[in-house]
Amino acid sequence: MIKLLQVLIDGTLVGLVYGLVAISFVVIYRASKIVNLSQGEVLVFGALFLWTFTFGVKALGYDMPLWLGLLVTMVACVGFGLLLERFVFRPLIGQPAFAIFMASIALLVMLRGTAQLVWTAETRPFPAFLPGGALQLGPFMVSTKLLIGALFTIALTAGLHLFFTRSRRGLRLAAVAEDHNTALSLGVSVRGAIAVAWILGTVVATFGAIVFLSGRIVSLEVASIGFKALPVALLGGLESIRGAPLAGILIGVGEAVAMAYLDPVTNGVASNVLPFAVMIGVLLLRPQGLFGWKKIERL
Amino acid sequence: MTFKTVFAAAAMLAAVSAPAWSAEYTMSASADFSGPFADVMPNAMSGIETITAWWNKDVGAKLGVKVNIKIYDMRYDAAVIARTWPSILSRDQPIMHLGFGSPDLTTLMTRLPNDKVPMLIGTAMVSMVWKPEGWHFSIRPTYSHEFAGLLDELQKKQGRKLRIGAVSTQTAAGFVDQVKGVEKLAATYADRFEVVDTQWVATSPVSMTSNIRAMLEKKPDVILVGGTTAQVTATAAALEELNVKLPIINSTHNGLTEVAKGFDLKKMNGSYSAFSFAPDNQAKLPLRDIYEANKTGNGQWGIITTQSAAQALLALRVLEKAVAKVGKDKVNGQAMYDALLANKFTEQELLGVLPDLDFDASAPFPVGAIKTKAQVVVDGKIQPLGDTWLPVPAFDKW
Repeated sequence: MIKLLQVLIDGTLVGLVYGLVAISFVVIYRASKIVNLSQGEVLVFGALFLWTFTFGVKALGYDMPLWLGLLVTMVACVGFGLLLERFVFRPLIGQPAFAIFMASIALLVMLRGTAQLVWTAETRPFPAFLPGGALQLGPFMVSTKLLIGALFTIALTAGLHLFFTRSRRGLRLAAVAEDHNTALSLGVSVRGAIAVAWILGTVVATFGAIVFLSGRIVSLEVASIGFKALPVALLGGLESIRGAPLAGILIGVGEAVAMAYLDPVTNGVASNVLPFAVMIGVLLLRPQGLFGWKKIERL
Repeated sequence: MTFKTVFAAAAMLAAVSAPAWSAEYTMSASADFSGPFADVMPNAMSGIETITAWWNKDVGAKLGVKVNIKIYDMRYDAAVIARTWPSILSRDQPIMHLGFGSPDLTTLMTRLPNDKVPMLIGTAMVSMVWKPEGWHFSIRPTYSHEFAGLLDELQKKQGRKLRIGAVSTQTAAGFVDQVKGVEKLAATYADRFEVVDTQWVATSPVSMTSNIRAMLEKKPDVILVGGTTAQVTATAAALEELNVKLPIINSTHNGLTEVAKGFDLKKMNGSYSAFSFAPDNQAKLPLRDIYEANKTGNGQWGIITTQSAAQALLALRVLEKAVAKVGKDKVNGQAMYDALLANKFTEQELLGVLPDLDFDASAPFPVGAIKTKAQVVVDGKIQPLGDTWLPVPAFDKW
C-alpha cells in the first residue's frame, strides 16, 4: 500500500510538471485558436535565455545575481513571444487551420535550427533555482524540487484562472477566445489579446523549464517535453487553464502506475505509450477534452 | 642578376623544399554539425584533421603520400548518408571512409563490399552490425564489451557476484543492444554477474526517482546508464533524493565529461565512464602531445577528440601498411581492406591511444584479447582508472 501511495505521489508531482508546460499551450490556444506544436522549442529558448543571463554573462566576466538574470530572461521572453506573434502567426489570422498547423511545424524546425545557430548544440548547465534532495514525510519521500514546482503550478493555475475570469484584460482574452469577429465588434483588440497570449505562453513555458531543469543540463533534446505536455493539454481541454494541471496529474499518475506495474512485463513500453493512448481515447470520446468548451453551432 | 634568374632560382628552391608528393589519396569522413552530436563535432573533426596534417608532414612526406580529408555533414541521418555517398564515391574515390555511428553503419555496411571502400568508425559497435565478411570496422568493440571490461574489474575488486541495475531507453535499438549484451555477459558468467533490474525511461525524463527506487529494491551494486546524458543526470539526481550512493557507469557519448558540463561531479564520486581507448587525461599519452603541437582551428583536446584522433591514426597506419605492400601509387580501397586484416597494430604504433589491435573478417571490431579503459570521479574530478588496460572477458554474440 505504501508503495502504491508513493507511486501516486511521484506521478502527481511529475504530472504537474507536464501540466505546467500544458498551461503554456492552453493560454496561447485560448486567444489565438492555435495549437503551437513548437511549444517544446519555446521552452528550450526560455531555458537558453536563462542560461545566457546567468552562466553566459558570468563567462564574459559579469556576475549577474540570479534574480536579475531571471528578470532579464522574462523580459527576453516577452520580446520573443511578441516576435513569434507578430512575424509568424499574426499574418495567418483568418487563414485555414491547416496553414496554421503547418506554420507551427515550420516554426518548430526553424526554432530548433536557430537555437543551434545562436547557442550551438552544446549541452549547458541550468541554474539550480530549486533545492535538490527530498523531504521525508512519514514513510514517504517527496522530491523537494518537484514539490515546490507543484505548489508553483497550482498557484499559477489559480492566478491565471482569476486573471481570465475576473480581470478586464483577461475577460477580453476570453471574448477573443470565444469568437474573433464578436470580440472585434465589441471593440476588443484581437491583435492585442493574441499578443498577450503569446507573451503568457512564452513566460509560462520558461517557468516550466525552471521546474523541469533546475540544477540539470539544457540540451536541444529537452524540447521533447512539449510532446509529453500536448496530450495533457488535449485531455484537460485546450481552453481550460484548470484542466491542464488536473489532466497532468491523471497522465502523470497513469504513467507512474504503468511504470511500476506494467513496464517490468512490457520492457518499458506501457508508460511510454499510455499518454498518447489516453490522448487518442479522449479525442475519440470527447473531442473538446475533459474540461474544454463544447461548442454548439446552430445552422 | 636579372629578374628571370632570380625567379628561376626561387622556383627551383621551392621545388626542392616542398615535399615530393607523388600520390594523393582521399579519406572521406562523416560529421554531424547539425544533428544530435553537433555539440561535440568541432572537437571530433579537429582530432581527425590535426592528426592527418601531422601525418602528412612527418610520415607521408617520407613515403611520398599525401592524404586529403573530406568532411561531409551527414547530420547523423541515414537518408542524408544514402543520398550523399554515391557522389562521394564518384567525386572523391576515397580509399577509406571515416564513419560516425549507427546511421553510417546501417546505410553503408551492405554496399561497402561492392563499392570496395572500407569504413572505420570511432564509436563503439552494436551487435546488429556484428556480421562476418563486412567492410565496416570500428576501433572499438561493442558498448557491452567496454562495459564488461570495467564490470570485470569491479567484480574482482568486490570479490562477490556483481549486481547490475541498468537504465536505458526503447527509442534507440543501439541502447537496447547495450543492455542485451550485458545480459549476455551475466548469462555467460552467472557466478560473477547478475542484471537484477532494467528500467526503461524516456531520453529526457522529468524525474527518475520512481524508477531508481524500484531498482534499489533489487539491491544493485552499480547502475549502468548507456543512453543519454539527461538520463545520467536524472539517475544521479534520483540517487541524491533517495540519499543513496551508488556508482553510475556510462560511456563516452553520455560520459562524465558531458555530465560535468551541467552537474556537480562531487555528487557522482565513484562513478565511471568506460571506453576502449586511452583516457584524454592519461598521464602519458604521446598522441595528445602530437595533437597539441599541431592543432589548428577551434578544437580542444578531450574525450571525443581522443576518439577521433585514434580513429584517424589507425586509418593512417593502415595506409602505411598498404603502401608497404602495394607501393605508394597503387593504394585503393581493396589494398586498405587487405592491409587492415593482414596486419597487427601495436600500442606503440598507435601512440598509446589504442591497445594492440588485430582485425579479421569474423567481426567488425578488434578480435582476440579485447581491452578497455575507464575514467572515475574522485573528489569531483575525472581521473583515469589506473594506467593499464582492463581485459574484457570473452562472451558470444547475443
